[in-house]
Amino acid sequence: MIILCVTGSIAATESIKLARELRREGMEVKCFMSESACEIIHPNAMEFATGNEVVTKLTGKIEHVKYSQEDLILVAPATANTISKFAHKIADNLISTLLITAQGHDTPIIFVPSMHDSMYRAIRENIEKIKSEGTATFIKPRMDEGKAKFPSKEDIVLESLRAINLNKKD
Amino acid sequence: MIKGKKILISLGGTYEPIDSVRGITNKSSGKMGLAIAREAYIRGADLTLIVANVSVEIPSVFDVVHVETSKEMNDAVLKLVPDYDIFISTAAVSDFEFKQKSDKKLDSSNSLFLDLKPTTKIIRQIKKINPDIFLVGFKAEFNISRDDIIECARKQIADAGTDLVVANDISRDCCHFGSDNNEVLIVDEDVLTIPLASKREIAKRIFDVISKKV
Repeated sequence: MIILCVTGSIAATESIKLARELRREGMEVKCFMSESACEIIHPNAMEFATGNEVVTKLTGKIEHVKYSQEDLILVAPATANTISKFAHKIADNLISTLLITAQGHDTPIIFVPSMHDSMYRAIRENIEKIKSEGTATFIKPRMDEGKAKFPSKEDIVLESLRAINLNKKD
Repeated sequence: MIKGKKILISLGGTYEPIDSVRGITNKSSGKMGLAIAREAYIRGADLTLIVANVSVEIPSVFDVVHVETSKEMNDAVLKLVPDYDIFISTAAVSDFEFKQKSDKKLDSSNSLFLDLKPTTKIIRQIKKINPDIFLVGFKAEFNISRDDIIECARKQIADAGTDLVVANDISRDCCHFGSDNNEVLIVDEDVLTIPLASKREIAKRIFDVISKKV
């Protein structure tokens, strides 16, 4: 199962189709949405796209633990805020909490950064820190019109399925 | 096991210029090659694609060498082949090139006679350069019997030392150049029939066979 974490970038609108593409490849998808993502798209859209109930807050079901050892945690889109929190192991919402729980279990994590390019430049150090620790990988954004835009869904699908296979024990 | 293997894949159709604006090419779309590249990437291979003319978009995650003519394809393949574990040759390489190319635009008021010569068969050189490489060839034939297709595939195995040949009949409605589906035979010492399926599905079946042999 892929845990698709949607955070508050306008590219959250792309996550709906991304979820459909992943399911077309035979993957089950469960979605976590941050509060700011819910202000951009409604959780109903992701519930429809994934066919699964969407997690929008942590409850007594300890969702951050329950879903921390799945095949892949895919953060798409990933905001400057979410990436920077992960770089410093801050856990103050459902997604940042899921991320450090998953890291503790060596679950593969992929970030798909989407933000204005000035923000992308500003958090470069945090991205480099995560890369050098090897705790997550990044799919390069498409640089266009001064923005770090969401890459093609096909690229995200390919990188996700590859990451899952590379992590499988032989 | 495909994970960690170095795989080289050629795809698309080559283009042989007649003059600065015209040329001869073929109807290869690159779809089968792309489906194979996709599957190899998902399975964790390290890939390089040698891409001639294609009508599909190549995802930016792939390392790509772009070529145009059969000569460029030949040079690129032969340069890279020593460093790879597997070469999958899906490209439709022109069998002919021009003896002389014009670097101008030819005048269209006169009749034109084109003098063609056969190109070098790339696939026959692979095992000479890298005897250990696992070589997969594709063979597209037109309107012949199943036995004849198998015969053609076996001939490629004998001539080029191919380890596996994926053969099909492109005269069939379902399986022409540029189609999303295909129906193929996977030929080595055995013959495995893959009934009509999407090119992605066929790519999976091909890798299921390859992964048992490498």
